[in-house]
Amino acid sequence: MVLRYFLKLSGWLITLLGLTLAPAKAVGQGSDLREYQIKAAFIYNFAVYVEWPTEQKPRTVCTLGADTFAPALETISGKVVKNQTLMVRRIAEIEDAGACDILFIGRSERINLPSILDTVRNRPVLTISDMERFTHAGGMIGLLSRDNKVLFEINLKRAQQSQLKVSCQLLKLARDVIE
Amino acid sequence: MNSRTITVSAALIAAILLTSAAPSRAKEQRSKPSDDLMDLGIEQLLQLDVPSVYGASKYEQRVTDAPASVSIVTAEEIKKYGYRTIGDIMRGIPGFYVSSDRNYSYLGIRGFNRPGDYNTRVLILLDGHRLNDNVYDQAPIGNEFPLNIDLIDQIEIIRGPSSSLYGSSAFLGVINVVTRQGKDMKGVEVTASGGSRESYQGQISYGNKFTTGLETLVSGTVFSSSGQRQLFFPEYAIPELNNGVADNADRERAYTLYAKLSLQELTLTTLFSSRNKTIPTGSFGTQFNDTGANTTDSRSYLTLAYRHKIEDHSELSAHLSYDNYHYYGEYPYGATSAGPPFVSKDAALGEWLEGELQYNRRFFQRHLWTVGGEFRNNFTQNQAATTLDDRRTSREYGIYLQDEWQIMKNLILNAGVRYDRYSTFGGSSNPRLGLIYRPVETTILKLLYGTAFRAPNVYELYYHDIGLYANPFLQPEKMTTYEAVYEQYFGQNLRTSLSGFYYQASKLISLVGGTYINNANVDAKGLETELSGKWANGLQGRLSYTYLDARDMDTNTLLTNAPRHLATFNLSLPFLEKRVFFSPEVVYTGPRSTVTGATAGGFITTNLTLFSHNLLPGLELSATAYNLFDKRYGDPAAEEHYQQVNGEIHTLNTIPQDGRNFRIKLGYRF
Repeated sequence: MVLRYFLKLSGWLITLLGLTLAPAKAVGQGSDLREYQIKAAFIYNFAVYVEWPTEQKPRTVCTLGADTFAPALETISGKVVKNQTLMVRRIAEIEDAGACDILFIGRSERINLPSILDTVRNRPVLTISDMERFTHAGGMIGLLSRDNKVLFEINLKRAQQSQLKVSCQLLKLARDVIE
Repeated sequence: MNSRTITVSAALIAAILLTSAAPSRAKEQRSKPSDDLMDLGIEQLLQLDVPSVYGASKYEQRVTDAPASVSIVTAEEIKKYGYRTIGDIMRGIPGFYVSSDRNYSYLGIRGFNRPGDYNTRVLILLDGHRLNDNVYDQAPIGNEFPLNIDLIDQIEIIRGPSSSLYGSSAFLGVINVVTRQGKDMKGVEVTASGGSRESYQGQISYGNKFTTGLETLVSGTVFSSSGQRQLFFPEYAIPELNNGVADNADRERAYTLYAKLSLQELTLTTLFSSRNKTIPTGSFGTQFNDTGANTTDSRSYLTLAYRHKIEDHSELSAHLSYDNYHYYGEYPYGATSAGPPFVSKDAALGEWLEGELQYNRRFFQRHLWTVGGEFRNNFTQNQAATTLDDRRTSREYGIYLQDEWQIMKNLILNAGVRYDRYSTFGGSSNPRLGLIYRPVETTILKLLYGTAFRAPNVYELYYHDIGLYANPFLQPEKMTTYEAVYEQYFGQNLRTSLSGFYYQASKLISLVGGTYINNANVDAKGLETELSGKWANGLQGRLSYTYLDARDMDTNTLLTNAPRHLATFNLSLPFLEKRVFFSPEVVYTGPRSTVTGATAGGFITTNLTLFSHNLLPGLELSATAYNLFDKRYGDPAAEEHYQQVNGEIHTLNTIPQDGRNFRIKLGYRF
């Protein structure tokens, strides 16, 4: 009797899940893109609040191992920040990071992270990622999702070692600053 | 029964209609072309709502790469489902079940929940700090858990043995509770709740991180409940035992204090907690329907942790702590021909110093080595009772080594071993091997092998008093486990997993006839399957089923308190632009045999929570109905729940559990 009740209830609930699946799916795909768009907007802002030692033109934003994110990021391509045009490039290997000012590292590159960070160490490349504990692993800006909001953390020590100047305003808004 | 089904269905359909309407409206209002986002400053971007969903790549790497089957419960889920204790949370986790004797709660894991076992086979860590005490090895999962549930950031539940990293107690699983951080609280939080049976709880916390780099979190909680005013035990239904009714004998009181202070690489944490519970079951033959029977458990510790990064390739972490556990029990006995009434007083004091040093280093990009050592100096392990004054000390240490070897981009071998040495019984080595293969991004296959041990504790070894006898010859329990896990992600929203396991345990310690003995050789086989989904509009849910066959190999009978079937279902439905969540949770526990040879019937409990946040800034409100359909059920009783009347022994088969009850909770952040 109890089992029958449970089966009945499960039946109802599965139907219910099925019902909600259709509308939810559409929103799901949309929101994924939205998450990337918000992160792209963050990256655009970081370009405003960080000063590079070089007067290189244009500012190159590279993505590594983040193919799903790249299309959203490409929307900032062509935007002008402090008289410099942003240019977005996808790179396949870290060896191609020579011309990058900003390097966004996708989550799929977690296992290669130490060698990636080693390659750009002490060079004026702002490293950004949305993987967990990125700033603790030696990355400069980590994007985190908490309570359905996007937050960021800054490893100031690493940024300074690479001669990047991070504005106080940005530091104030960070969830955490590692010095 | 039928009308109930209709009620549930109607409620759920209503909720569905609300949810499917709400998000689409929200979508129209909120969707913005990405160009608009570029016009927003960082302050505004920080306020935007980003629904988190999981696809395989988004799932925290730690979980998919872990050499175990892992479940995670977040702070958000704790709120949405109205969980009050760790026990409440564990009921909803596939493969787990919880039984209670209305004094303590006991965790059953994949068929193991031995009578007289005080949660000794599961390790609970609070930010990596061991909570199991050094007298009973007890993992606290009820209101004796020393931290308020509102301070939990997330709980990681690791199934199977982890003796290769944590040593004893990590026998069937590890529950790691991660606390929130001051920088995420940034201010004061107050919560108050009131519920059925005069249950009240109040909590106040403050957390912040200052520009000096100092981070702090302090919190305090008080809890009080009168419990069930009247409890009826049919086995005691004779006039001499008040016809089986215990009046006002289910009271509970608890408080917790917690403080954490971090500066750069150092973190100092201290906590103090205490809980008092009246025992309504007349356990150990004490006077039934006497409100004087009670236990008090107090737990405190002070720990200093240090974490230092060396370049980007290695990390050194260490901690040193002082731990204290105190237990005091009062057991009133009535007048007999042998003498007048008296109160048997029972006490235990455990004190220990613990230190751990761990070093992680990455080699050649492909190897992540972890080496570590841990020692524990149990300088007080004392027990006292009417005829007992047992004072003990002991020492133990363990060293471990683990390598996470990235053989190929999609293949990881995780190999580890730990050696433990106990001053009481000698050494034990326990390996663990895990092969994690990810043929495509959305598929994960895991093959796991491991062994585990559990050292007998001083209570099992040396305790003796009325009706209980010591057994200083107990040997450690041992276990060998095999498990295969298959996880498949479908798109961004759905995840399925199927796991088959085979556990072979020998010399399990059980309470038989008043003595703990190494009596059981157990084979447990099982299958666990789970479907979970999470959508961007806030909808999430899980359906799971576990089949278990845990058998005593000497008698070829099913273990007591081991259900063959477990099923869970939960769903959280958002509406009003994700400000309100309607979350039902349904748990089925199959029939279990009891120590007395009877059967505790299978049962379904349904909890329903209505949770809202952001209706006003900083305000959270929730209302929960637990056991909504008032299902009457009992958990199998261990053998100590008996009464002797005129030479005749009445033993409880089962212990009645809570019927329908409610709670309303209010939280404010400023």
